[in-house]
Amino acid sequence: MNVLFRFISFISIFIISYSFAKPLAGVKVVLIRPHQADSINIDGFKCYLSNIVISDSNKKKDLNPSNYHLLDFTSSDTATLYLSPFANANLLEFNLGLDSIINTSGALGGQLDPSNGMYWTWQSGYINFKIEGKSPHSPARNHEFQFHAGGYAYPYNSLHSINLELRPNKSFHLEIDLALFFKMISLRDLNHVMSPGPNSMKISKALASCFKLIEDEK
Amino acid sequence: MKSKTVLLFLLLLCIAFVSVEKNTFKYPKYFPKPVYQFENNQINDLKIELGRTLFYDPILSLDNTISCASCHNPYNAFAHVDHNLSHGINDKIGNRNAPVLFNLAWHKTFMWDGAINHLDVQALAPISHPDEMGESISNVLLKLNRNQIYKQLFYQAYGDSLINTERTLKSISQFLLSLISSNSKYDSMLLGKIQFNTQEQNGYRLFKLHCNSCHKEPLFSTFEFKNNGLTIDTSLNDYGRYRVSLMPNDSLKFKVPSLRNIEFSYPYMHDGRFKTLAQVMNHYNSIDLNNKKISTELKRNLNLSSNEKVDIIAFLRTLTDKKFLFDSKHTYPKNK
Repeated sequence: MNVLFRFISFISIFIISYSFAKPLAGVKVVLIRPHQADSINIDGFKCYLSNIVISDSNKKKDLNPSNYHLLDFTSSDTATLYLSPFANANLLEFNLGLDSIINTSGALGGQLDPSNGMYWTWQSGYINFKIEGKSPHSPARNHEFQFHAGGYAYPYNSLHSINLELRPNKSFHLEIDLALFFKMISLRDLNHVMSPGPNSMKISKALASCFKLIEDEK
Repeated sequence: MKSKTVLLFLLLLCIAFVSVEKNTFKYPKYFPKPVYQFENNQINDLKIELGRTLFYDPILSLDNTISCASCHNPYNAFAHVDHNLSHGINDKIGNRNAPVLFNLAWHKTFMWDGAINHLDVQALAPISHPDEMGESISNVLLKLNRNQIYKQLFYQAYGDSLINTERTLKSISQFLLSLISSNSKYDSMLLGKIQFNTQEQNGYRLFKLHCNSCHKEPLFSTFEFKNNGLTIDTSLNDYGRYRVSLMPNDSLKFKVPSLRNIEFSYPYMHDGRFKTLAQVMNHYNSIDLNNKKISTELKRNLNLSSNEKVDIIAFLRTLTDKKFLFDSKHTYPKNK
């Protein structure tokens, strides 16, 4: 009896470890801060990337196992995105933010735990990204700016799909260029966004165009 | 040896059946299918009990003074008797009347403006609101994790003592889902156990004629958002559903509340402006027909006589569910 039990547990551990054995490739994500001359100081930047799909020229797709990634650049300018390696990949697709299904599924855990501070409590829904900081360009109190973008419901859905082409078998990293973001958003006119709506859509569209795929130099 | 194994197997089977029987969500046959998806939070007595303990515990607030029950009293169908607006920490006053809590499995959204889209995340709103509990869920988790009683309650309910956001919120949902009101005189009448008296019967007839399109039987609400003609209170400037949808058409629309237990859940309306059902009846009987924003259901003169108004109120009293209001399973938990 005891031997049988040990045998079963050995087999199940073997099966479990085998199914998780597929290694994940870490993709570096680098935050590009505004230029010093722009006098924009970023105190915090966090964002959700979701539904990451890698495909090759034959349209063969690979949906990544954990599809919700909370990237936090509070203490470092780099983060790592763990993706499954995919031979001859030439397209990387993902969403900036979380879709309406996630937003209406109640209390979730892990990266989607509301205690991560990326959830609105007064109105259900995730904050897709947060950019906070200070700049003399902001006329708000203490020259602060605070961008909390989100919204999953029509007509203020601020989710953005991002497609980036890559050359097969080249190693790459992702850049999020906030210098470019602040070229599109004038802090004098817009410095606080805290709810879903037209402004949330505007800053989401701007940030979605700031993702770049950079080939690593060998 | 073999017979013992068979016996053990049968015993386990019995336990399995008993627990399934015990943990199903029960409601009357004439209720529609619940909206809440139970497969993601299966009803379990230990989780209900944990949720009940959390519901009555001020540990959820910043200074440990305000619990959910502070504004949701079981004897008033979990509304806040005599208070038009909800209360919070440091004697702060909120901006809305605390709604009744029962039959929540049938609600598509929560709050007067439907800002909350799922029962499981509802509790985050009062916990985080500066005029209510003024706390954060991460700090609530810290406090709960330091508390040996909760370590034990979570262990009993979930099989280990891990206390996280999902378990905490889903346990509160379990208690809220267990609050089912379906034992009123109206329910007995539907089941053919009793008959209404003449006045109640006439009130029921008038109700079906004038009220039932929004306060739809048997839950006594469609849970949709309607403008019922109340003028704006300029001290609150509450535009209701508009704040959530940002659609001009939704201005001054509020969620239609259920009328079950209405006799005990005064004051009425989103800002608690009416103290009596007679005042509510007078409001609907004197709707300003020039108001273009008012919901189509109300765009007609009711012309109710005072006797008719009294008859409707007599019918509304048949929606009182004393068994629900005084159910010992809903009150302050014994283990505290």
